[in-house]
Amino acid sequence: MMSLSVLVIFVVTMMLGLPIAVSMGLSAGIVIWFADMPLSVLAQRTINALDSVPLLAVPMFIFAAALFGASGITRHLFAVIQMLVGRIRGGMGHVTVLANLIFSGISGAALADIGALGGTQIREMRERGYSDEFAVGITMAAATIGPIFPPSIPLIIFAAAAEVSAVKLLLAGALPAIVISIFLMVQVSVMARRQNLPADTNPFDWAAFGKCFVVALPALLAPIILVGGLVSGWFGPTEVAGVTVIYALLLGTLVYRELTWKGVVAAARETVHSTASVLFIVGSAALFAWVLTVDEVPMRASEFLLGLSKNPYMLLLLVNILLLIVGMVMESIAAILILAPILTPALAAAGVDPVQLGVVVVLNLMIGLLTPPVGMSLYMVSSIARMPLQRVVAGALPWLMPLVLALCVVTFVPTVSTWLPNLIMK
Amino acid sequence: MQQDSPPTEVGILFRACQLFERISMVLLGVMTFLVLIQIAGRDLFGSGWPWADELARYSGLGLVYLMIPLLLLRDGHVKVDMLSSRFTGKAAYVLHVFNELLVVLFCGLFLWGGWSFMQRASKFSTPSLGIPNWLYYLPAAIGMLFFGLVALRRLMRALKGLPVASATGGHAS
Repeated sequence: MMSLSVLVIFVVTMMLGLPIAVSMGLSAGIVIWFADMPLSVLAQRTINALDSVPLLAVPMFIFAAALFGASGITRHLFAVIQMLVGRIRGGMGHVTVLANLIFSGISGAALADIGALGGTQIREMRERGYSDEFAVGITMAAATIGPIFPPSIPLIIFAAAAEVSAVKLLLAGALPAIVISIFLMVQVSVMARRQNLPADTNPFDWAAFGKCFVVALPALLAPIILVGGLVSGWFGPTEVAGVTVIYALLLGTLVYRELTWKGVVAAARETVHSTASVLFIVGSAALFAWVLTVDEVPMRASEFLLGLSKNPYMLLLLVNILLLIVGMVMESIAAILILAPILTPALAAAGVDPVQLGVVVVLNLMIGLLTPPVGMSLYMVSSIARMPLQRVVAGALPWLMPLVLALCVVTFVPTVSTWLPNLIMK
Repeated sequence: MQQDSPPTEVGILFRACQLFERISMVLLGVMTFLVLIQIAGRDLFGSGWPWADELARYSGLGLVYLMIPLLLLRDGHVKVDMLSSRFTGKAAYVLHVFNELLVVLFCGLFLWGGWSFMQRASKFSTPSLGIPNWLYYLPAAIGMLFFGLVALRRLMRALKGLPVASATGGHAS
């Protein structure tokens, strides 16, 4: 009853337009109040949830992505990939996917990727005659790679919430990210033929490419250094975010020399705004999750799921359906904090590797970023591209198919997620 | 016309929020520095520094809570307005006032809960640095108090039918 009340109050107040953090905290607070439980829980759970080392990765990754943007590093990355694949039909679509794949090795969040690359991508595609819908659609779809490829904020948070090895989980995202990229590039090729999209006509110039490659090399090396440091044990999953910040600062000031003090301050300001808005939700989500736990929802959900089937694939299919719906109405980090402790024990009992489950959960919720009403990528791209939300939603639709196909691969082929962590971390 | 324009960013409440924003930016730098010296401590000097860990968490906590009043002031918190933005006239007014009232209620519950939490928690200190808990949780208390003040201000403006968010506008998250 408590859980039902908290869910109903949350959904109603959220749909009425209350900030998500407030609707979560308020719904939990009202239920705690009426259930005669101590109100001190409200502050204690909310504050203690944020008093966490893994969550420190959130501001630092956002800061690193903002610094990369302010340093002009993203521009160099974009330029070298454009020279490589820009001459294929619909080449800017491929450039977008590959740029996001490389940038995902630096940043750890979809919205950070859209913030750093989205503006350039959409502008370049528009200038070359691509439709607005195509430009915004591929920008949002390619940004889902960011939170899957290591490092990844949602995977770090899942690891903390489900008590799974964060390094294993981060490594598990590498191959699925490549699978997503391949599916997206196939879809780009199909749509490029259908929409008769242009290709760059200038001939390939080895000298110009070599020069461009050398300039972009320090930025291209970032994912290798960061993932290498993580695997070798030089730094942990949260620390990798700090190293990314210092790497961005060093590249921006010493190598590219485009990062000014003003740029650093603007990046820091952008970071504290984004961080507070995300982590305030996380604090409230922890309280919300506590109410569900007190009402024994994780245990009952576990019994319910295992009662439906003991087949791990069937359970994963059910979880996918549930998460695709949850992803539409709930902010992704809040959803991870609430659902990871509920789903992990049940699916682990049925034989699903928690590492694979982490990737499945995060990919589902990242697809949710492209679906209304709580599709954060939709809102962000709508603001960047200055397009009405309805047209942005229309632009997202064709990209749901390759993303769902990639989700099917990750769901039904566990090796895609488990092979790399098992190989490296024997 | 003048009366219907968004509030400009002047006054004690705005200045306090802007000061908190600057403190949050400093805390971001402090947190990053502390995480980096932890790596150096472990990998170069072979020793872990739990105090750095504690201070980094304190910075992270402060960063979030000190920023939330300014976000509320600028309507920068993540929300779903697909349904609420369709309301017009009297219905929009009522919904607006109702929403602001709910934000005030949330703050009231949180501060009340926070006060009873501190009755017990303030008797203890943090494990590494020995910072009294009241000091450790102070940024959260200040942040929520100002969040409440901003919410009250927004409620007053909503009751008068005035725009509630400041002119600077929100931040896309």
